[in-house]
Amino acid sequence: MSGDDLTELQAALGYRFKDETILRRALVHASSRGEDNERLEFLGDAALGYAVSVALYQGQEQLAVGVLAESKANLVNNNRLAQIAIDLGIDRRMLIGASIQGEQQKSPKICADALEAVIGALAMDGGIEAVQQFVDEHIRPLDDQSTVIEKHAKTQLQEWAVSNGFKPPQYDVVKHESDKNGELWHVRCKVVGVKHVGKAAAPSKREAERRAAHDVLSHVASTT
Amino acid sequence: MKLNLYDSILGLFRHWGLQTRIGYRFKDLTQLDEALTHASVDRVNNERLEFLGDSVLELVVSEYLYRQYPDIDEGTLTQLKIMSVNNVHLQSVALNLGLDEQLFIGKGLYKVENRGVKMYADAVEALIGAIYIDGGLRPASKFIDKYVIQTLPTLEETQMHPKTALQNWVSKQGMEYPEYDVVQDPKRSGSTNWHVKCSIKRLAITRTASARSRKAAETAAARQILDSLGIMANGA
Repeated sequence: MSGDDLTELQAALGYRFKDETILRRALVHASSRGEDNERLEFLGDAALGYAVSVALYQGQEQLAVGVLAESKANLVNNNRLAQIAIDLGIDRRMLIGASIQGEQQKSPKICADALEAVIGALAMDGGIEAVQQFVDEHIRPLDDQSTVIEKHAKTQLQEWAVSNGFKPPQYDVVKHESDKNGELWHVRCKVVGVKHVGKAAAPSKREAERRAAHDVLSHVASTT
Repeated sequence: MKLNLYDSILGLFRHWGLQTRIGYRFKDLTQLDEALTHASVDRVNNERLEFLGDSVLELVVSEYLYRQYPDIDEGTLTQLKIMSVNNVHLQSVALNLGLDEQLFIGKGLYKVENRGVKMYADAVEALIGAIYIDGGLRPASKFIDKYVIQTLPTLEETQMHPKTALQNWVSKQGMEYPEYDVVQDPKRSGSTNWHVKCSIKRLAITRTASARSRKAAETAAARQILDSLGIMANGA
């Protein structure tokens, strides 16, 4: 990889490495020759978990423990991490061995692992503060992909339905696609008596259900 | 008024002994109170601090292992990490600190004889969370290093004979040596095997194993206990 490429990546990460070799190593998949990124991934996984937990714990709202755990699982799930890795251009700069090139090259797992390895590299180069800053900028922003509120959409809808005299919502998987790029779940959410049927698609069933619930919620909220 | 003053002075010395053992003085003792309140108490309890402490523990242990063992692969690092955050190991940390005496639990639980390994393990994690919130990462790391990491067998010790590894571990935790009792002696029972029971009284753990020789049965029993502790034992 060229030096320019590394400079670009660092700009995307929002961090300048004192020691670029550690960033290079984070991009070496285990299938490749030489020292790979697995040890850094081990470290990065823990550093990421820590930074996310602390951010959630110290957030403005005092979240119940169940919500803390769910939000954390949601923020660090492999599909989401893979997406972030792709957005940052980490996947394009990875060194992958010939044995697995092509087919699974950009499997969500490989991308997510590489992001964790980059986080491990951040921890080694800039200390845990660098990781926390990175998490604040890139991981924690609760975009519409996975927010705590979204996480609660199902609960909210359930409560809304019950308190307005409806039966609990029903969720149906309409379609489930799966290929080398990952999975896509199409889910329908229906509350008997409510005209609007919620529809959504996402890489996980849970996420799709949540979005479908949100769809219904935003509809009933705008009509009531 | 007199009484209030007395109370507040007394309040300053709350958890004095425990804080001395932990090696950390809390600025805000309510954090420590929270850490010592089991989830069976239905108000503010230690679940949130446990969530936090768990992550702090994982980070500190992982970073320690990463730096301590530059040459071992990710698989072994993970195995070593699992061993250090194992619930039985954390339980023994709790007992070593006397947390069992200090834990505030819901009424229903007083009747239960074995209050469970997890309860103590959770309390240690919550305690780590409380130290972190009160004083930051540095004192939390210091605590983890002293009580969770240094009390574990080193990678070299895990290569030792199971009986030696087990003995080393219990003595690091300030506990009495494991006891080995012959449950069945082939000379008396007429069977071919020795049955030996290995027990660690403080943790109320016992394991029985059988083998052709007494020594082999003892080794097998020790190995079973190490397994339940999550400690790798590769030795004989």
